Amino acid sequence: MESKTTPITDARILQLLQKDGNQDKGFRLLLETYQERLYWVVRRLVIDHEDANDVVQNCLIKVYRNIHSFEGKSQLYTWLYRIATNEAVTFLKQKKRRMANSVDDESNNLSNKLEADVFFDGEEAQVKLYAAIEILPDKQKLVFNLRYFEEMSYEDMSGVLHTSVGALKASFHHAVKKIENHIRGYEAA
Amino acid sequence: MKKDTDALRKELEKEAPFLARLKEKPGGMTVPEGYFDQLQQEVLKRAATENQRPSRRVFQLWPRMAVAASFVAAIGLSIFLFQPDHPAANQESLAISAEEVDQYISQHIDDFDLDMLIQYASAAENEGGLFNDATLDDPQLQQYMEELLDDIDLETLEELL
Repeated sequence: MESKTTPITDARILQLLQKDGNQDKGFRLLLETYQERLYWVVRRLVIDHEDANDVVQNCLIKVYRNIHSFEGKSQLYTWLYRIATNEAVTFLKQKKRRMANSVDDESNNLSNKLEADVFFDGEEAQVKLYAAIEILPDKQKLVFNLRYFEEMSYEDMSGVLHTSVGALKASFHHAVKKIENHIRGYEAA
Repeated sequence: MKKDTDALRKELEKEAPFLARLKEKPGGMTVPEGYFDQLQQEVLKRAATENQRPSRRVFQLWPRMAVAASFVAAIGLSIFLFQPDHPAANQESLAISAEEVDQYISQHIDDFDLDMLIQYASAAENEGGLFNDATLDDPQLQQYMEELLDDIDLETLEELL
């Protein structure tokens, strides 16, 4: 899947947003360019479509409120991904606080939930994958998802998560091993 | 953002062939038909409402901070009693663990000193920070503070006090 975002698009979005009378046009272009990608980043973290819808809407409204404070010190997409991932991780933390179940229960619950989800048509192997991702700590889950699903380079991810490239590589490696072990355990059971 | 597809494929084939094969399979999560058009309309509608809403300033939260001040004083006293040269330091009944402090803060989040947390957030955040303008509403602050509190350890708390 080739990215439809380019530095030219970002420059155009910022140009419109900074020009009086063109902010709405700029924000509309930002939505057209990024809303779908941000939705999928959030969706793969929170899993449920309705949850993802709420989180991504809140994220985009925060972007709207704060876009004037974006100073261009980082890439626009880096800034947007940072807000989206912060919003999703905050949501997950709040959800965890509300749930008294153990991590294993969460993973099993997710398998059952995905199998019954009308907005999930994946195979059993994909259900196992999402259930395995669920056992990862939030930060590691974030690293795995950005790398595996978004195919983000470690350099770009470093800008989003403020973590060194070396640490991100190690985190992804550990995440992959945990997922592999979890799926093997699942198949052996 | 340029996708790192080739490097990822090589990495997965080496480390986790199962995940490399799974990645090639279609299907998975879906969205309702026309969802992204609806999302854009919904966000634009909310954004238009934002423009009409009078901005709320952080200083409107000061009444809550008066309550928070007493909480900060209580924590400060606890930390003072932690000092090794304080006569009360050796009394087991006064020992408070970092977990207990964390738990207390979580339970009393509404009473916590918002200004102090905002200052902490501003110092920690870069331009992606959401506290660059002072027009945040209570749920936003609450959500962000909860996230921050997960990362604040006892040492940081002492520094802030």
